[in-house]
Amino acid sequence: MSLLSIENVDYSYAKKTTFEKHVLKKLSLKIEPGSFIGIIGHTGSGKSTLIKILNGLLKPDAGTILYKGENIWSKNFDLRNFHLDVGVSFQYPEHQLFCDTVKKDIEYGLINKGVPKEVYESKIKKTLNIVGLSESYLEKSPFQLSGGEMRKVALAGTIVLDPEVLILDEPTAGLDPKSTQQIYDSLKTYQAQTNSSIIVVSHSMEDVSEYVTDIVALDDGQILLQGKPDQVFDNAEKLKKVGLDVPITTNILRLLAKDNPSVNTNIYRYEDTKLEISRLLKDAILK
Amino acid sequence: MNNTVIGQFIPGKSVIHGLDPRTKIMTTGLWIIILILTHSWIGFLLDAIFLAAVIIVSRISPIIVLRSIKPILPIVIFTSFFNVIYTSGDVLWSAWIFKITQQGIEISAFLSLRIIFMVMGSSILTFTTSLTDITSGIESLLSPLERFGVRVTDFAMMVTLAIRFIPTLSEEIQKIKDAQKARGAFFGSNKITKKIKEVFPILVPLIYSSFRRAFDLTNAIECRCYNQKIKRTKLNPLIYKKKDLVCGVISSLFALIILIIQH
Ligand SMILES: Nc1ncnc2c1ncn2[C@@H]1O[C@H](COP(=O)(O)OP(=O)(O)OP(=O)(O)O)[C@@H](O)[C@H]1O
Ligand SMILES: [Mg+2]
Repeated sequence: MSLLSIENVDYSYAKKTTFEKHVLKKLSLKIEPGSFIGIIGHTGSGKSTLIKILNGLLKPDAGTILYKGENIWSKNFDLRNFHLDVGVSFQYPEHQLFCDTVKKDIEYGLINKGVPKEVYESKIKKTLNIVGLSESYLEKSPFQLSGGEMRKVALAGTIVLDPEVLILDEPTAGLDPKSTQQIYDSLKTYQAQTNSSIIVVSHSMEDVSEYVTDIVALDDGQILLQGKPDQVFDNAEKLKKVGLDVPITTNILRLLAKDNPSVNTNIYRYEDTKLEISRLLKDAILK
Repeated sequence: MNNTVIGQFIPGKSVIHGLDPRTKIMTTGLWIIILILTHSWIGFLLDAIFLAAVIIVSRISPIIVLRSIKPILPIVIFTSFFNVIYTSGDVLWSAWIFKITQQGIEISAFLSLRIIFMVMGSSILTFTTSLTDITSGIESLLSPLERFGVRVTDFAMMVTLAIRFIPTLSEEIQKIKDAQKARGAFFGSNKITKKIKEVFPILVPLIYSSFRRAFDLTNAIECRCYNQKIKRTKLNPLIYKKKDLVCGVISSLFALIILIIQH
C-alpha cells in the first residue's frame, strides 16, 4: 500500500462559468514512503493545483485520494491533521509570514500541531540547520529579510512540523546556487533521517536530475512521462515538445556524441558527467 | 476563485454591452431614483418587468445576476426582520412582545425589494461594462468639476486602481489562507476571541503584500513617465451614439410612468 495515492483525479477551476478551466485530467499518482519525487511541467500545466489536491486543500471533482488507505474526503477523516502530515510549502511561501520575529513564525505550526513546548527549541535548531540559516535570525523580524531569506524562514516553518510527506513548490526559485544546493542536500539528509517522502516541483532539469529518485512530467494536466530520471530523460523529443528539456550537461554530451559516437549520452548527474568527460579526455590524450 | 467575483466584467456583444458607459452609469443612477420613488406593489411589479427585460437584452445569465445579491442577503434579512417586528399598525399576529403588522410586512418587503433590485441593476452595469470603460465614464461625467479645482483624472485613476485590485486581493487572501492551513491553522471557530486570533495570520501578510504591491505599482507607473500635470488623451474616446439616445428615452419614460403611478 502506498503512503499517499491519488486515482483518476479531475479538477476544474471556476466551474460552471465562462472562465471554467479543466486543469487536472484523470490523473493518478502513487507516493511511496522514502521516495523523492520531482514534478516537472511547463508553466500552467497544473503542478501547483496537483499539490493542493495532494494536501487536501482542494477537493477534486472526481477521483479518490487515499492516505494510508483512508479516503481523505470521507466524512470522519481528520483533514486538519492531514494538512500537518502532508506538509506543503507553496510557491512564494514568503507571503505567509506574519509574526514579529522569525522564531514565532516558525513556532506557529508547532503550536497548531500541539507539540510540547520543551521540544520547540531543539526542533527549531535542527530545522534552521536544514534550511541553512544561523540562529542569529531567530529574533529578527521576517519582514526585514531579503526575499531569499524569507523563503528559507517559510520553508523552515513547514519542515519543522516533521511531515510524513513534504511537498515543496519551487522551493529554490529565486535562490542563489549555493542556497539551492544546500537546501537540496539538507532535504536528502532530512529524508535519510526520517524516511519521509519528499515531492519537489522544479523548473530546473539539472536540480531534478541531480537530487530526485523519481520524476513525474506533467503536460496539460496529464502525466506525460513518469519514472527514474534516466527513463524520463531518455525521451528528449517528447520533453522538448511540451517546453521541457533534458539537463544541460546531457545536452552537451549529446552534442559531443554527434562527432564521437563513443560518448555515453545517458548521463544526467554532474558527477557522472565529470567522469564521462575525463574518460573522453583520457582517450583523446592516449590517441 | 470558485465563484465569479462580484461585479466582474463578462464580455459580450449585446446592445447593453455596446452602450456608452456614461449612458449606463446615468441609467443606473436613474434606476436607483426610480426604486426610491417606488412604494406600491404595482410599482415594484413594473420595476421587476423592466429589470427582467434589461437582463434578457443584456444576455447575461439570470442565475449570475441573481447570484450577485448573495453577499447582501444577510443585511436584507436582518433589516427586514426588525422592520417586521417594530413597525406598528394593524396587528396580524402577536406573541409575547412580538407583533407582526401588515404595515411591517409591507415596509420590509418594499425595502428588501428595493435593495435587491438596486444591487441587481448595478450588477448589470458592472457585468456589461469593462473597468476601463466605467472609469472613463465616471471621469467624463465628473469632468465639469475640474473647473472647481477637483483633480478628476487622479480620482479616476485611484478608483481604477482600487477596483482593479479587488480580485487580486481576494485571490491573495485565498493563497494566504491555504498557506496557513497547511501549517495547521483552523478558520471558522465559534468563539469570538479565537476568531480575532484567526484573522492575524491572514491580515498581516495581506497588508504587507498590499504595501509591496503599492510600491511596485508606484515604481512601474513612474517608470512609464506618469505625470499628473499632463492632460492625457484616450485611446478610445467616448462618443454618444443613437442607441444611447434610445436607451435614455426609454428609461426616462419608464421613470415618468413610475412617477405618475406613485402619485
Ligand atoms: N485560482 C485559480 N482560478 C482559476 N484558474 C486558475 C487558478 N489557479 C490556477 N489556475 C489555472 O490553472 C492552470 C494550472 O495552474 P497551476 O498553478 O497549477 O500551474 P503550474 O503548473 O503550477 O504553473 P507554474 O509553473 O507557473 O507555477 C493555469 O492555466 C491557471 O491559469
Ligand atoms: Mg505553480
